[in-house]
Amino acid sequence: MKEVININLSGRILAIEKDAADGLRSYLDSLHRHFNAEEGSDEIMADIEFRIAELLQNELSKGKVAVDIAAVEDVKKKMGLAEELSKDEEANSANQQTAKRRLTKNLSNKMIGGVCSGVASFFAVDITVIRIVWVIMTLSGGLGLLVYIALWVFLPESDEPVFSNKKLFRDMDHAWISGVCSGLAKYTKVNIWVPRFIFGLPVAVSILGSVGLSTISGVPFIGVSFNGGLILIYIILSYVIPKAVTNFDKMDMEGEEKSRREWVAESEGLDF
Amino acid sequence: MNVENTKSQMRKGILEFCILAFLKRGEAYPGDIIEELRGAGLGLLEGTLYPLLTRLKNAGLLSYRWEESSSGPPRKYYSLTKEGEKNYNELNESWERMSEAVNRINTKI
Repeated sequence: MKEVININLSGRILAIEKDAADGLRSYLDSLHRHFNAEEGSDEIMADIEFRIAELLQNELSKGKVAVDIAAVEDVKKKMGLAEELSKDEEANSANQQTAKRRLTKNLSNKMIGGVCSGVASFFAVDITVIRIVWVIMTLSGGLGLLVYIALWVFLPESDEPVFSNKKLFRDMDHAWISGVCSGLAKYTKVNIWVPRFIFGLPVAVSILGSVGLSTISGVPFIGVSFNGGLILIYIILSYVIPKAVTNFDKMDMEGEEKSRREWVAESEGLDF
Repeated sequence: MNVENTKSQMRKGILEFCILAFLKRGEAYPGDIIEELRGAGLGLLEGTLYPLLTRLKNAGLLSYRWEESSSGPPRKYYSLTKEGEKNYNELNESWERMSEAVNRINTKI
């Protein structure tokens, strides 16, 4: 004996066997996830549900008492599985260079909720830069945290690979402490002494101040608080920025995207 | 490069052109479009048609109206807009040039 239930699909009441209904539900869910990132996804899903309901009703009008598994499988074959549709989409997006970039939560490279990752791929900058900006915004008044939560709630999800051609790393080959200054210098293409000077000067000033060489009472005080902030930032940076470990990391740190791509293409026999 | 990818890319452009060409004859609902394409030997997964129709509609090439149906809830009937017609004419011209070129090159081999 099979349990039969009535469902309302896109305005049609259909009698359907329980296991067939479960199959249909999970199929619709998979399509929903597939079209989620697409513009007009609600409309597409409504059209598809309409069509599925129509196909199933046609099936019933042939004399079946209720929709069974075979009928649902037939619908899936006609409409296409989510995997088959995304294969088609890939060819399509390779074709359409004008595809719009959308701001999403990017789950492919997330630490917390994928917001920084999504913002980074939207602006095509390195994710580490976005993470640093976010940490600074969060520590200075908490605005970053609010913005993060809001974006996490409202942005749709996606899992495209993050776009970035140059990455911020800690350069361990030229490190004094943890390679932050050298990495920053490589990323911003300035002399390594510029970040070292910025981080080092307040430290030097406060040491001089505490030794008592400075007679101006204000200077050591400013020096110490400034110095404390910068040390904190330095510590945060050495946690947030990844180490450049592999040769690929080092190439990305220098921004040698093209040579890396060619190298990968050669070694894997791919065609870019 | 794999041949499946190339085939799929070829079909993509043609599919859009065929939809515009079919709707140039008059308004139709998606079920008609599918049947016409299948009948002509251009089989496709229906799941790829609906996103394409929505995209064409959002791009201003198609519009639709609801029409009562005897067999169920009202259906969407799509038709070409002025913009869509212009688009079709351009595609048609380039298709004719392309197919002629392809045939010429192909038969010389």
